Amino acid sequence: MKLQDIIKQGVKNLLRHRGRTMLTVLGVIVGCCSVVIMISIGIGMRISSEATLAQMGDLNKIEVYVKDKEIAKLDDQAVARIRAIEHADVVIPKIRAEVPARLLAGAGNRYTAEYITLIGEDLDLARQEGYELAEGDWESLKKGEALAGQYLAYAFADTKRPEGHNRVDRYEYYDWQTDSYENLPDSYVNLLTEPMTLVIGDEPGTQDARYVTKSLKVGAVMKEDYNRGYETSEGLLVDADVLKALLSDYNKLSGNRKASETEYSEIIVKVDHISDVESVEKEIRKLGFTTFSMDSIRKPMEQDMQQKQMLLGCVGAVSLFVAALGIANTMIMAISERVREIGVMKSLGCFLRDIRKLFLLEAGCIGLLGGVIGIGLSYGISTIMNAAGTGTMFGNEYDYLIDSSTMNISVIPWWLAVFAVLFSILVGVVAGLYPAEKAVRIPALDAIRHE
Amino acid sequence: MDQENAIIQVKDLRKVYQMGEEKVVALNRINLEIHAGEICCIFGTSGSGKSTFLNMLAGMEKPTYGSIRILGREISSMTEQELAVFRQNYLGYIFQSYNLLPGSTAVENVAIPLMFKGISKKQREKAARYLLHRVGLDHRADHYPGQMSGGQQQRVGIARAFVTRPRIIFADEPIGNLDTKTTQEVMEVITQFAREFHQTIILVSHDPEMAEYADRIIHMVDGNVLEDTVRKDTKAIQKEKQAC
Ligand SMILES: Nc1ncnc2c1ncn2[C@@H]1O[C@H](COP(=O)(O)OP(=O)(O)OP(=O)(O)O)[C@@H](O)[C@H]1O
Ligand SMILES: [Mg+2]
Repeated sequence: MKLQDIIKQGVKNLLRHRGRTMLTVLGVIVGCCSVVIMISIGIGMRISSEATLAQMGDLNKIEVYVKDKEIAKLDDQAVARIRAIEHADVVIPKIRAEVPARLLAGAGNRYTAEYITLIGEDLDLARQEGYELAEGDWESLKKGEALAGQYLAYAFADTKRPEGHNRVDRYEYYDWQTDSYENLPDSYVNLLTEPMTLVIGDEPGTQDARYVTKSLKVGAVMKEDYNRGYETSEGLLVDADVLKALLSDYNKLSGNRKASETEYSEIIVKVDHISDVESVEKEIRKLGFTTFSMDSIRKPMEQDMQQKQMLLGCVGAVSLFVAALGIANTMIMAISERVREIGVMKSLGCFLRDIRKLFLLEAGCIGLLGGVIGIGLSYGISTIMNAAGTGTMFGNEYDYLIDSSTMNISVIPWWLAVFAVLFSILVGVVAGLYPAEKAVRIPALDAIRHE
Repeated sequence: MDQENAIIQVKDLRKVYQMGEEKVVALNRINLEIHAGEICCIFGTSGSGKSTFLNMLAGMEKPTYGSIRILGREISSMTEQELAVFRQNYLGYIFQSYNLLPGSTAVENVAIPLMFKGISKKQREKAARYLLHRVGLDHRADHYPGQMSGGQQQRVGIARAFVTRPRIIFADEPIGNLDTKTTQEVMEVITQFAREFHQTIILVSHDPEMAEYADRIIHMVDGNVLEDTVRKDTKAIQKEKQAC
């Protein structure tokens, strides 16, 4: 028999018993729907959690700190060792100034910003680390120029004004609802145009003041990023070598030999792929350092997700299994009704393989129809769920992390739709295997005997 | 008639049904040869083994003992696949209760054996329409079996059996459900086709009237062939003579 004839014949048979066919299809629709919805909830959960983690911080970042100075120091040797680790793609040593730092600006150093966060870091690496610029651009940045935090300008106080009225308080203009500033007045200083002096140590002019100074030019302004650190708000990022030299000078001045100039406060390691974070972190720990990465949060969260997804998948699978039983049952019923028809077909010379194909095709068609309608219905249910749903349905300790207003509870990617339809067809065909074999075994004689 | 001409050779055919302890001998020992172009009527009382014999010739049942050779091939040792091919190419079957597929029209029903052979829809429906025309059902071609009378359905059944132009056609009581007038119509169609295409017909009946259409009557009693008569003045032959 030609394939097109088998298809036509199969469709005709299904249409002849419309009621029964539709009931069976309904079973598949329910099964397909529940599998798709369950999986889509799992996917929605995963996307939400990943987005949340990404909001919390960089997923491929490992922070390295000193555990015990006697065992391992964060010096250039450590940097080299970490760089040698496979998949540790970018290694960024950072120095955090522990000594008070202040900035002076304006005519006669009228404006001062005190206790600013001061970080020393290679500016090329800073770009790779993920600092973003609000003003200026990386290309035109010159060696030795500093990066200022977005609101560093507002940290300056006017020494000519009385205490309490000497600063532009930017928080006065901050709107919590919209998370933005409204009508923020200009600051006293313009970071990008005015030359500044960096002072490390005691306040100049006080008794026995020990300090070192360095004139400084801000090359660009960083975008504020809470996940990165306060330096992006009211801090300063200078070249590591510049800061090293300043600190060394200051230490000499104050007779402090304890802080060696080659030691870093922390090292940031960027890994190309999230999946490599774990192994790289392990290697670094072996070197004797303490590390922190989002992996420690991501891993249990992921395991939790996987468990939930499995559970959801099982619930869906059970209903699809029931649907498969429905198909098998329908087909077996159809066969006992069609014993005679099959006998006639055989006595007229129909090949067994064609009878088998016919029955498998009918079963597959039921699966296909159920799958297609099921996936359509699933999209509808998914849309309703997302429109009506609130985020408390995860019921776990990560709930608070998930911003329910922007996240979808249920997500059906295209591959899930394709998979669902193909799987429904497969379920139909598999459910049709036994009935088809049964049909093939019906002897031609039965066509005559039934008389 | 010589052996070469025999299209069917039956040798020592025996069929015994085992019913628990009891054995039912349906066919005792049958030896006969049927020649190409013969219209044979197997005649006998109920339970004499007519259907059993016919089904065995058509390859639907396996003999307990003995051999059946059709066109020189041993039919009882064929696989299902071989049987299907053999049926497609050489055998036709007319059922007592028509056995048309209820979901298909008359044309589609007639075309079914050609569909099994993998012949295109256009070609097979052309052949089917021609045969429907020959059995006088042009105007019913697109009707469903449920919309036709018994006699009309049986004519569709006959058209279906002949559509592949088989060498042999089996028919078990093809007129069992029909009245006398319809019987005549149906039998005339069958015999006319058989003569035209030089086909061998083997039909089963317990109606003596049928014998008039046959040129050979095989009378069975209790699983044996009691009498085997060749007739020279069948209705069909008479008609042929008149035509000349
Ligand atoms: N499947 C079977 N199992 C057991 N016995 C059977 C079977 N088929 C036929 N028989 C027996 O074989 C014998 C011959 O039956 P068969 O059907 O060939 O008779 P028949 O000549 O066709 O009769 P009728 O004219 O009533 O159709 C009967 O005694 C019947 O009971
Ligand atoms: Mg009988």
